[in-house]
Amino acid sequence: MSAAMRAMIRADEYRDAGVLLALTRHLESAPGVRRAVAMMATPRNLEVLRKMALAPPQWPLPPKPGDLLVVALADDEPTVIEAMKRADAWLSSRPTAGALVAQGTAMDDAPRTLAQALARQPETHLAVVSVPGPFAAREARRALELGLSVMLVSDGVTVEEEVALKTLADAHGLLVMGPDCGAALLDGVPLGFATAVRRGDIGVVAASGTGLLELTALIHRLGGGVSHAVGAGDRDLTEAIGGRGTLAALDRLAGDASTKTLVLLGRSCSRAVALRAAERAAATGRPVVAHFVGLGGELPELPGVTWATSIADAAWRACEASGVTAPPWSTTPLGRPDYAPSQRWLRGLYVGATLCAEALSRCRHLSPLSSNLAVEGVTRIARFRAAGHHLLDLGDEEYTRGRTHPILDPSTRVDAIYNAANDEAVAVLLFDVVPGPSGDPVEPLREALTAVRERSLARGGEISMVAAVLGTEDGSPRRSAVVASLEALGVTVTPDHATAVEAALALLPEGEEP
Amino acid sequence: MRRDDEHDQDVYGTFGVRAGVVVLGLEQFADAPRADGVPVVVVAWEPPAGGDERLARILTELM
Repeated sequence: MSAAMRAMIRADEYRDAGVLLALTRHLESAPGVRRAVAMMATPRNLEVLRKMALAPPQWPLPPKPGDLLVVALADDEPTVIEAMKRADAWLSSRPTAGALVAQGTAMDDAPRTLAQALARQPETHLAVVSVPGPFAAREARRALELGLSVMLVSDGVTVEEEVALKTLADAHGLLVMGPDCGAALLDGVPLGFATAVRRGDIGVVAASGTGLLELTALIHRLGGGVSHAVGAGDRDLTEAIGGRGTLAALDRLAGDASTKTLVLLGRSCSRAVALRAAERAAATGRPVVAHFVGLGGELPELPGVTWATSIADAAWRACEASGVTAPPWSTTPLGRPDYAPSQRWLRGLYVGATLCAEALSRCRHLSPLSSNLAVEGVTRIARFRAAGHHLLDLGDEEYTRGRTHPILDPSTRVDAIYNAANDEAVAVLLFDVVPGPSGDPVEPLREALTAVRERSLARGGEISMVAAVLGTEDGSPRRSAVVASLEALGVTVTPDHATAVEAALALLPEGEEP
Repeated sequence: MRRDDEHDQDVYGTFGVRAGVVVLGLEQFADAPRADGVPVVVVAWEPPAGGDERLARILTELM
C-alpha cells in the first residue's frame, strides 16, 4: 500500500516543544498514521524534515520561522486527511501559548515576560529557562539583569554566549547552571529532570544531567543524603569556559552550613581547569571526592581530595566521607548466550552524555570504537549504525534539533533500538534508563526491546541487553518497578552504571572481550 | 529580591529556591518544584522577532 503525506502551516503560531510532542503523540496514536511531526518552521527544523523525508515537495506557502508546521504520513489519503483535521481540532481547542500558562490561570492574566512574572512573585531567586536555543541566551541575560540565578536547560547556546552569561553572573553574585543543564537539586528542590533524594550533607557540583542524576540517586540508595546538587553545564570545565560555573557553585557551597562533604563530577574537562576546580573545592576545608570522566593520565595528590574511579565509586566514597557505610552490592555472574557468528559488537544507546562518556572511558581498549561524542582516541561517527563498537549519546544536539530531549521524547531511541534489532553484527546492547518526568520509562521501549530479542533469535543468535537504571525507591515510578519491567523483557539490570558497562564488556563474544 | 540576606537564607535556603521559581519554556519543569511546595510562575513565552533566530541573536547583541 502506498503512503500518503499531507502538511499544514499555521502562520505565526508558537507552541513549545512539550506541546508539539503531545500533538505528535496524539496524531500517531490514530490507526494508519505512520509518522507525524509538529515543529516550528525554523530553517534548522526544515532541514530536519528534509532529512526525515517528511518535507513535502511544495509547501502551500513558504514557511516562516514563526509558523507552526504539522506533517503526517499515513497508509492512505483518507487517513492522512483525518490526521490533519485532528491536528487542527487539537490545536484550536488549546489557546495559543495557553499551554505555557500556569494551571488554572486565565490566559489574559499570564505573564508574558520575566519582568511581569517577577512583578507577580517578587521573592523569586531562580529562573528555569528551556526556550529554544537561539533565544535562550537572551532570556538568561534578562533573568540575570533582573537579579535571578539561571538554570539554563536549553542547548544551542554558543561558547561566547556562555562565557558572557557566566561573567555577568559572577559580577552580580549570581549563578548560571548550564547551558544544557538538565537536572539540579537546590535547597532540596528537584529541578529539570531531577527527582527528589534524601537531604543530607553531601554537596554536589556536576556537569549537567544524567551524571548528576546517577550520583545523587546512588548516594540516596546507599543511605546518604544531598544538601545541594548544582549542574554547572556540560562545557563548564573546558578551557574556553574556565570552570566559571563550577567555581561559582563551589563558592556558594563553601558558605552553606549544611554541606559537609563535596563531590565534583565533570566531563569534557581541560586538565588544568579540572585541577583548579578540585583545588578550590579542597580550599573549602571539606573532604572532597572528585571524578572527571575520561580525564586520562595520572592525577596529582591534592590534600583533602580523593579521586574516584567512576560515578558509582564517587557516590560510595562521598557516603563514606559523610559517615555512611553501606554493605557492598552483590552481583550475579552472567553467562554468555550462544551468539551467531555475525554478532561481534557492543552498541550503546544513551540519553545521557556523562553516562555515555563514562562508558566510552571504560571501553577504550575495544577496537574499533566510535561515538558521536568528541572523546580523545574515539572515532567520531554520528549515525545510528557503525561497523565496530559504537556508543551514542542521543541527547546530543544533532538528535534533539526540532524535538525535545530523549528523556521526554523516546522516539529517537526507539528508532535506534529498532536499528540495533535489525543489525546482525550487534552482540550486546547497553543503555541507560531515567525514571523521570514522563511516567513509565520502559513502556515506550517495550516493543523495540522485544523486537531486539525476537529478531536476533530468528537469526539464530541472541542479543544480550544490559541497562543501568537511575532513580530511587522514593521516585515515581519506583526504581524496583522499572527494573522488574526490564528484567521481564530479558534485560540485565545492574546496581549502577559502571557495573553495567563491566557486565556489557563481560558479555561480549569471545575474541571481542577485553 | 535582596541577595546574601541572612534572613532570606534561613527561610528560603542557601539558593533561595524555596522562595519561588520562574519557568520560561517547557511547562513540565514547573511540576517538580510545585510538587515540592515551591511557588512557581510560568511565563507564556513566545519567540521574539517572529521566531527569526538570526534576527533574535542580533537583537540580543544590541541589548
